[in-house]
Amino acid sequence: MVSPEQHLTAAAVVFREADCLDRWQWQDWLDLYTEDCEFWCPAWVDEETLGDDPDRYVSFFYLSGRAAMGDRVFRVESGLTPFVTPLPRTCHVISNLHVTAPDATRLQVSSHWQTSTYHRRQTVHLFGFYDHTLVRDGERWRIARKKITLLNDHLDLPIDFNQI
Amino acid sequence: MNRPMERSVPAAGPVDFDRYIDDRIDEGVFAVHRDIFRDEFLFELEMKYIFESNWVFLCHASQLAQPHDFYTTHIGRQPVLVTRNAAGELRAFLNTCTHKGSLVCLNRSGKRKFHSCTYHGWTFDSDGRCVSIKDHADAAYTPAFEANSHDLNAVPRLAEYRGWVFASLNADVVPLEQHLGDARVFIDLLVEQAPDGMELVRGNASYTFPGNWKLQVENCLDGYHLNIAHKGFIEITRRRIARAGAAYKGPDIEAMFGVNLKTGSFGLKNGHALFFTENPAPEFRPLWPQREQIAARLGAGRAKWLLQYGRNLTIFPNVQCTDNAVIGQFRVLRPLATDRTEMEIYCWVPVGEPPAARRQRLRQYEDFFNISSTGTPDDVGAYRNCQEGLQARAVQWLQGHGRGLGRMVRGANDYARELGIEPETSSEGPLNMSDETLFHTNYRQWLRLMKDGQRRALAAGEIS
Repeated sequence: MVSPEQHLTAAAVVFREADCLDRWQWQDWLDLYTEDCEFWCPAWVDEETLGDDPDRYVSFFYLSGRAAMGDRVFRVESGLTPFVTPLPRTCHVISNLHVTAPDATRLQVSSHWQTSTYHRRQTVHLFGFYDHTLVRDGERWRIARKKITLLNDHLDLPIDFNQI
Repeated sequence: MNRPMERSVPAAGPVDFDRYIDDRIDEGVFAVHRDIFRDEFLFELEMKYIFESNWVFLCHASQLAQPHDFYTTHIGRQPVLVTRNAAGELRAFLNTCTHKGSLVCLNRSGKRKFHSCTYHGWTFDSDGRCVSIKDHADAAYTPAFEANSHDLNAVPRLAEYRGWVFASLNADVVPLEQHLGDARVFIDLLVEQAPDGMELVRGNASYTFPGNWKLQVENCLDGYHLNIAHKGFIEITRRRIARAGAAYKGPDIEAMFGVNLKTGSFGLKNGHALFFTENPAPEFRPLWPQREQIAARLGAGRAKWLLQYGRNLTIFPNVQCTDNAVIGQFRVLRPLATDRTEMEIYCWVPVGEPPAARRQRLRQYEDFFNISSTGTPDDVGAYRNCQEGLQARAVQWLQGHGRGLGRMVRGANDYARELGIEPETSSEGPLNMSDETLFHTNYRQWLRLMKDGQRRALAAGEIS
């Protein structure tokens, strides 16, 4: 049974993450994750099959640990890359959020997302599902694992971690 | 150069293609006109005369390994269904029902003995034969209609070289082996990495980019952009080296851009080209632990080319493979419009490699080559910036094909002789020379095919 408190706790973390990304608060975003987190966005194996093993199939992202995610943040912040110059503006909208497997120290959270990315007068819409694993860290909750299912995967522009 | 030039008008008679490529290398000049990246009527002619009249890469044999497996793709603008028949032989057909024209196969890949059209149910086997016309007995077809073949239309030429499958919609082309020529040596090096062969990792990461397809043809073999467009990647790598200290396992970025690093290139016949770089850190390649077995299998010379030189290969016009400082990537390009290109990209791996090596390879691939990586997005950004910049129609010629021309030799150099190949041109120098002469063969082939195609069209009375 999922308590209202557990639901609110889960929603607060998932919504806070989106807010950090959209407002370019990169260090706050990183701080939401555990040191040994996993950030995974698998590719589709065929039209109806999502890759279920990052060591067997290609992924869009398989970042292991907060330091690896920090490298991606560095890239966006550095201004060194032609693709993210100027920085794209993004807006995440998250809905259908529910906690699927609660206990005192761990929450599995499922949600649906849509993002709009605006870059150089062009807008790109992406959408899919999130599966967050949150773990208790003292008084707060951190993200130990985030799996992103990208549903419209034939891309007309490159994607970065903040656009999905 | 820079002389004013009238833009030629489509369908108003033959096009003077020679005006687009200023090829006078004996006078120290090679220049490409910007219109071939921006003129829509030229794009239509490229589809007809280059992609739909000559050998193009279709797929890799591992993408349809077993009898009745299929794979759908395109030749130029035309949808194609590749199958294996019951005997396991490759077949290629235009993916269009002989009845009303619908696609007969809607999926990207899979296994199917029969392809049944979803519109009226005409059914074809994996050999392309029409095995069922729904309600045939009641159809009241005439004998003249029944005399037609109802089978799928076969692609006129289909051939495989070591698992690389090519096809031509024009039957009148040279044999594939002749078309590939010395590029076969570099396919051999890619294929011979592993005793059980190579395959493409599954996982769709296709994308389109807002730029002309020839921007991709060049970029894959362009050493000049690395430490500018990919400065972000290089800085990330420096961070990783600093963080990992002695435990760092990856290419040595500082050595990579040292001026003493040897590089070279070959402009091969028929538009193909190869760029190679001495690998400053071959010990980080997933294959390095197997170097002794590889040397025993291939001989020391080939093993050196395999393990100690990074190689970027273009088989003109539509397939490229990189096997360099980190790992292998396979790219298939398809032009969609003058300013839009579709890419299918794959991680190129040994069949049955150990899980730890596969994991390392996938992570390196995702890190640099994927459309979500820290590398390719910056190439795509550069393509877009080029395509937008090239709209400056008051400017006629590019200055992007002159580096290295002062050192280029016609025919073979020592590197080519070591490999036993006879390139049209050879070049060698430090990485910072960043040779651009290897692109000349792309444009010479472009010109040859455009002129040949137009000559055929004139002879057939298709244009006047």
